[in-house]
Amino acid sequence: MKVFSLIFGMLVSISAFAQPTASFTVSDNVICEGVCIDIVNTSSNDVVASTWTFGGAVPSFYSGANPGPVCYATAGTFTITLTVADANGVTSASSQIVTVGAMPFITATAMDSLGGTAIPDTLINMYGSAILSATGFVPGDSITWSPSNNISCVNANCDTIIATPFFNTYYIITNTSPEGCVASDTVFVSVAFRDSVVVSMPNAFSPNGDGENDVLKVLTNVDANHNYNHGNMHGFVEGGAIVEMDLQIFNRYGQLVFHSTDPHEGWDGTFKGKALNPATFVYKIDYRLINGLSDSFTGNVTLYR
Amino acid sequence: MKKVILTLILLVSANILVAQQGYNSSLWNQAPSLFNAGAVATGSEDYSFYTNFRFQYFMVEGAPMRTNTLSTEFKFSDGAYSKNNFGVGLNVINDQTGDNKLMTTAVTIPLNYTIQMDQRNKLSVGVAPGFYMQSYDPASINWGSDWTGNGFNGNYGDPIYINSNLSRSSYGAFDVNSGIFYQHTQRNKTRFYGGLALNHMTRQKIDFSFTADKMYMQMVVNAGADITTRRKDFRFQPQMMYFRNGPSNNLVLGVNCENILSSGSEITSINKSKTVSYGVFYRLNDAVIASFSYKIKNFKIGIAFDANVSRLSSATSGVGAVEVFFKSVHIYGKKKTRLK
Repeated sequence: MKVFSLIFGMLVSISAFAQPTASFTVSDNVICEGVCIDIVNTSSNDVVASTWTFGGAVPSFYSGANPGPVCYATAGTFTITLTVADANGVTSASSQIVTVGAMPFITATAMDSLGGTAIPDTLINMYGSAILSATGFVPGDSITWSPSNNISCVNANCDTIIATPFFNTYYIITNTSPEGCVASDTVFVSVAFRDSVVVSMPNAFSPNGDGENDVLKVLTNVDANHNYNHGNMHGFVEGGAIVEMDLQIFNRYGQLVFHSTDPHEGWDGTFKGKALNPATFVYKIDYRLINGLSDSFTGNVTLYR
Repeated sequence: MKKVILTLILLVSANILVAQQGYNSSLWNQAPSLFNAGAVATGSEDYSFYTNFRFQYFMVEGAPMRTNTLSTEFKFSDGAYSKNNFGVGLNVINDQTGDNKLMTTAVTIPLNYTIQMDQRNKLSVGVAPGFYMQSYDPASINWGSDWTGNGFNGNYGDPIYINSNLSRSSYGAFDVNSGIFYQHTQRNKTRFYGGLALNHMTRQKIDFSFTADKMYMQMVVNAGADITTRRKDFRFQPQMMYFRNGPSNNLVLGVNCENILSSGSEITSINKSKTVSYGVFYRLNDAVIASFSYKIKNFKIGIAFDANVSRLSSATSGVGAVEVFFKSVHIYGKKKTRLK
């Protein structure tokens, strides 16, 4: 029994004389200029006083358990130090490094030619192309363009591109530094539409499962990726030129046998789940094109099997 | 004769109701034998001729639907002392639809037998064998696969672009229609009637391609009344017709009114009977039908107009169809019983 009492007394004594331990967490150790971080004091063992120093930040000093947001206005590598003390004046210190990256710079503009002169936001003819170029790239940065379709990079870092948009497009260039700092700019390319977006319908289809003309679809000359077809391809049925559509097909008894608002959806010749016999149907299609024009037309289509 | 009747009844009743390219008319009530073989020669006349032209969806871009109809029917007594009678007719329906000129021609010979069950009730059973043909103009077809981006490659016969699975552009097949028709006449000459028909019972192949689907059978139910009112010169005629063709179906109902303007002279025929009829019908989820006809003596002409009231009206500008008919009804020999 005496032995147990002795051990218990020693443990109590050890506990009573434990030193404070300084520790803290930061919301991010790698940040960009102008960014603030949050710090949480995680020190332990009867801490009664905490003092902070923030190199290169605002504020640069703080006394208290948890500082508010700490902001870095300039790039560099800085140290955060926390010192804690208990009631007996025993202290402990902890430090962390914060890397503040410089904000990248990027500005994009249209060019009159490759390596030529910058021009304002540009107007191109339909099926034409625009040269877009950016300045501000430094080695280590990475550049992306959005939208990414219908563009081709002229050089390895892709700060100059040739864009062939089908319709009016805002191109956003994003430059990302190694620290993840991002800068962006926008350049607008407007497309002078000619009246050449074609929407049509076949007047026959044969849903007999042979893989040919099994589905009745709205026909356009623009595919889903807005690639234009000038009339040298067969079976070009994607409704890429259509933004909104309402297709209704009726039988001769006035029944609505098919209805769709999806330009990529087709009719398989069934009604209420059953295959219809050969017959002629009438339809109406209302649509709005990517160039903003709206129109509608009616017609007839015959189903064969 | 009983065997004949039994056979006809079996033909009518042995099929489950299923049923496409059917007869479509807003003036169906003028010639019910066109869709019900049992209704041949069930009127008061001994023989009649009927022709009809329907022009549908002509406000829609492209070729409209045109239907020409010819129907004639004759009544023959089953013996000098029998109140029963035979009916025989000839129906020709020619229908052309769409830019492909899909043409359907149906020629049938409806035959029926009417049993005078008692003073008030008559039952008719009929069958209509015939021939059914369909064709189209292959040169007019624009397949989706012919689309070039700014038009269709119209080079029909080019093996790249022709849909090779449509192996032929016309076919013909034997066809059989059937029907029963019942009438009840009250003492005041008010008449109630109804019929059930099953058409395309042979379910002939639609033989454009190797897949050769079978045609759906068509079921048609019609009913109506010809009501005598207190005014002798006015008759009230509620009518309905329902049909089902596979997944397609339709219900038309409405009322026709008949005003007898002049009863005519019984003996001298100097004063001709004159009747004007007008009706309003509703084809479910499709159209309001207005009809008008004028009858003088044995001859009747009429017109019907379908006004689309459904979503289809945006495609047709509200104009569904226009239909006109001519009908003449006669009695044999020198009988002077005036036709109703």
